[in-house]
Amino acid sequence: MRKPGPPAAWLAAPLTVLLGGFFLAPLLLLLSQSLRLVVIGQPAPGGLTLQNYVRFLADPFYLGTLRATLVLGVFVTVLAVVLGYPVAYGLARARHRWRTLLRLCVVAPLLVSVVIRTYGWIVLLAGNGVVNQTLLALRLVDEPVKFMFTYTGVTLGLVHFALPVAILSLVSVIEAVDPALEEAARGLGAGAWRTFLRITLPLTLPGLAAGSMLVFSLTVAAFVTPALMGGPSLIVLSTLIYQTMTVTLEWGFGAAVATILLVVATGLFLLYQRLLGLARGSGHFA
Amino acid sequence: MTDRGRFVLGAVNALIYAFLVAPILVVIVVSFGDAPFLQFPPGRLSLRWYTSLGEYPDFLASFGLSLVLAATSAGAATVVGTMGAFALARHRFRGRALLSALVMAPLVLPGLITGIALLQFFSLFRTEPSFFRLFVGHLIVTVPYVVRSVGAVLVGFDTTLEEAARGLGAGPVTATRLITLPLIKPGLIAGALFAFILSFDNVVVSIFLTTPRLVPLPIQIYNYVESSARPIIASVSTLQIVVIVVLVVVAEKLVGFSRYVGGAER
Repeated sequence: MRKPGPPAAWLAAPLTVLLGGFFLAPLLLLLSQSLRLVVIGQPAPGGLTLQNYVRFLADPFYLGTLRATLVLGVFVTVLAVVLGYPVAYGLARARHRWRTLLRLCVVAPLLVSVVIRTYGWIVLLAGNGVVNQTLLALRLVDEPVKFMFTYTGVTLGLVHFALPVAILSLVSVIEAVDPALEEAARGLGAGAWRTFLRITLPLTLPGLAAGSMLVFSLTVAAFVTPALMGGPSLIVLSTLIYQTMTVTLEWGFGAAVATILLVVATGLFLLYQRLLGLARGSGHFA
Repeated sequence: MTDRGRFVLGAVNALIYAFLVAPILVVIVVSFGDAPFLQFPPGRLSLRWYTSLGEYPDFLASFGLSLVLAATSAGAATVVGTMGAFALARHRFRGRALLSALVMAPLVLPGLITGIALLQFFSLFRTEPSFFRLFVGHLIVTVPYVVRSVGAVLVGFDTTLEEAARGLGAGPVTATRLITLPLIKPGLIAGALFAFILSFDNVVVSIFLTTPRLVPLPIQIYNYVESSARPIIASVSTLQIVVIVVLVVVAEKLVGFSRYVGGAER
């Protein structure tokens, strides 16, 4: 039977041209550049080579950036999931009129540009900023804590972005747990902790795993927060790529680092989607 | 849950909510300060950082550019994405699986990678950096959202309605105008508005495609934040937040926006 409306080829053409010509082709170019010794402003030596990758893997400095990226990713993911769980639980079980407002607070960091959020953090965390003033007033510290250009600052900034992602992916898995199961456990004499550990947590574990993988892949790829809050002393893969592409202009090497980031971030993302097949209902995101 | 448990959970959650909104609120508050330098809490309130915006032509130009860029790329993304969503939802054709994978790829891929890939790609042609580069970059990152939100509506779409219209003598254009468009409107509006917001907010792709004369607002803010923390950044940021909040509220009222877009950012 003939389908109503115009034929497929016609409808799909603009999208295909756009994505094929301006997304797939540039990506393939990027991959091919990573196998060449391209430096802008210099004549390119011909032939394919793995030298860019060897250079990365043989240099302790570059391996250090890879490690810093992964450590930061793991740390932020754990924090986001641990802090996000109670919020997600509260949201999933909330039946009151504040629900919409609370949801809005959760998505707010995702809707406001990352540059603006980072500026907010700079205001809060500065040497004489609110956070330090409070810490000093409470006599928790003797002198202002240095947040800017440190791991602590970057971690805070990244958790701020990762938390909403974690919360959103957790809410739907928790909603899928029948409250009657928790009530039954309580009725049989389990305490709040025991109910959580034996009932709620195991039932939400697949979704939790999937959500944390998504958070991790977003965190390791984050650029603006490490660039502005980490400064020159804290280099992660994304800031290394930016420097290579815009300062030293070693495009071949930059493309190789980009490919490494791509594998780390996107590989996990794909795994996340695979897991999603196991944990239906956590697909709030992707 | 016991009352004590409820209280502890509530207290922990309150702290986390504060953590989520604090950096945003602080920007808005600082923008109404009076001090010539960054001060929080601000001493006296004033609108000086809004009234002196005229002395910062960079910001005004960037604001205008971002509006034009977001409007054009969201418009184009809506047309291209809607056509694509129809093709993917209603037809079986060769390369369909590939196209549907390709359309989601910009969501999965870190924006940074899309940005540098486009930078290298465009420089291959040795053309002057232009508005076109930014436009294409923004189109790539926004079009998947339109395909998704329109696709979501098309999944539950009953094509017999269109067939009935055709059977009653409506031409293809009339049937589309009277039946199809009204039915897909929620997805269309949600997709278009979200595309606008994403473009208006975009940093990581734009940062590689800007030219000295064409600097979108988020990149302009980025450049300022990198070199100083003056309160003018707060007032410009607040204006940007206002634009986005207005759009989100409009979208929520019109179509229940949050149902169509989960709220993703890359």
